[in-house]
Amino acid sequence: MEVDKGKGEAEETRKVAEADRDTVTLKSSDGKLFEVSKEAAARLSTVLAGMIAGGSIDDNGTDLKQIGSEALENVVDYCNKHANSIPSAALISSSISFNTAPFKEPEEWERKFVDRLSHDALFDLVEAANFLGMERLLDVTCHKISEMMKGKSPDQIREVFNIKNDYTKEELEEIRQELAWAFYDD
Amino acid sequence: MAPRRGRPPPELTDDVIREILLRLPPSEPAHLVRAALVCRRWRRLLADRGFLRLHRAFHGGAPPLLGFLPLGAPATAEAAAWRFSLPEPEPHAWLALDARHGRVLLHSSDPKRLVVWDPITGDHHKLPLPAHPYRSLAAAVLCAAMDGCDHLDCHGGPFLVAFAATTRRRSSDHSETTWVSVFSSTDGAWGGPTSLSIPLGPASHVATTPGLLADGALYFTLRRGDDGVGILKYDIVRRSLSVIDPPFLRHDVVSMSMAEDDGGGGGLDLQRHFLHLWACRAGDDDGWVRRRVIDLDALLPAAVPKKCAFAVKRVSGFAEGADTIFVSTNVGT
Repeated sequence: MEVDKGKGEAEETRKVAEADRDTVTLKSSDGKLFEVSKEAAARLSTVLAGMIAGGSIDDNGTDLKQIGSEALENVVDYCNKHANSIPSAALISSSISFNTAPFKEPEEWERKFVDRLSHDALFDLVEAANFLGMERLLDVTCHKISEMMKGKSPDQIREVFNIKNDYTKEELEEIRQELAWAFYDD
Repeated sequence: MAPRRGRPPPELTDDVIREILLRLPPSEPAHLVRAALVCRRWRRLLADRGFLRLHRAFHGGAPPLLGFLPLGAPATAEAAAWRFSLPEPEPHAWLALDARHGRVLLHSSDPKRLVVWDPITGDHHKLPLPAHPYRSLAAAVLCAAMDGCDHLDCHGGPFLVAFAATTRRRSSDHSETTWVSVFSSTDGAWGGPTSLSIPLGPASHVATTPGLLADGALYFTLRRGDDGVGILKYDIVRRSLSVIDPPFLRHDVVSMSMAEDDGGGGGLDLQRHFLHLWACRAGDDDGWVRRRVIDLDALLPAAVPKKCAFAVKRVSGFAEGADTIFVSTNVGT
């Protein structure tokens, strides 16, 4: 599969408005253009599938104002890797709804895919996956983030998520006493 | 993980935080408690009933097994890793009769009454015992909604208590009469008793073991006068009572009713070291099949002596809907 990513303005010159294009062009909040296979986009993202079916895809670049270029690049990268990792026979019968399918452990390539991301890139990507209705990518990224919480105290979790503690000391002490069993291994 | 860059770190939306918290391992609930302590917003997300439903749907739907209360012994305030507070602090007077749909049914001997207790919220409802005299009893508590409830979040709603008892008849034949009466929390009263038309024979009585709810009927264990066992079936909708004779009518047998996937009934008995699982086809109370034989010696820890005549094993309970059978032994600590 031909992968074009992050070539920005170069894409602008390729405004080939063919009706039967097999790719869609997506535009990040900072104006960069990315091309992704129409089949993969429709299969992996409920939002893009809806836009493709509803004819609201803009060949000059469908605006995704909520998603920055780094996150969108990762989304497109994930779509391409996903398409390549599935044998072609499986593609035909792959109209799985991940909403109802039980959670499957991330595959090796998916693990590697999220492991190489920086903290911020991972957090941006999970929001992009949620926005685009990409159940599997949401699964994989959320799984990774939930793993980052394991064995951590509330203080350490706040640090990971950059959250300010808005409980009073008394409230915290009260909850801690009530649920002391949860802190045995602190 | 690469160090943060200059810009402020991305803030996650409620949707995404919910998705992340959903994926914390359900086998370690401490994770969720720690998460609730992070900030008010996270606590609000976790305490939301919608999250509870999502969590159960995501992790397979079966309600978690919180622990067990000893039956036939005073109900103690501790179950598994969780410390529950009993409705009233007089543990010696309590007997746990049954637990289902997030509720526990307790029998109090002083004062004499039943209590339906929600161990999670601590709510409890006191109800009088049925007015009819009895000498042995079994009881079951269940959600009042027979259809259209998944029983995952109904523990604060209306409930039913079915009370099965055996009374010695005052007439000359000394035979027993067995009946079931149902209390509805909506009516706040016991319904008229349904009696078994056929006498069970001398010394037969309802055994004080938890009942089983399957396919709109409750099943209780009967001790027969000849040291055998029977199953008392109460159809909740039709309010009819009948007796099923299982094939394991032996005095060294502990039997319990169990639900079968196909809607039929089932039972299990323990003979020495082997646990036998029996199944009965739906609508055919005579069609018993031995489904599985489990060699407990292969399962139990090495500390329990193999094939030892003194090592008594007992089926002490089962968890409906959680596919769990408890077996106790008198060996080890």
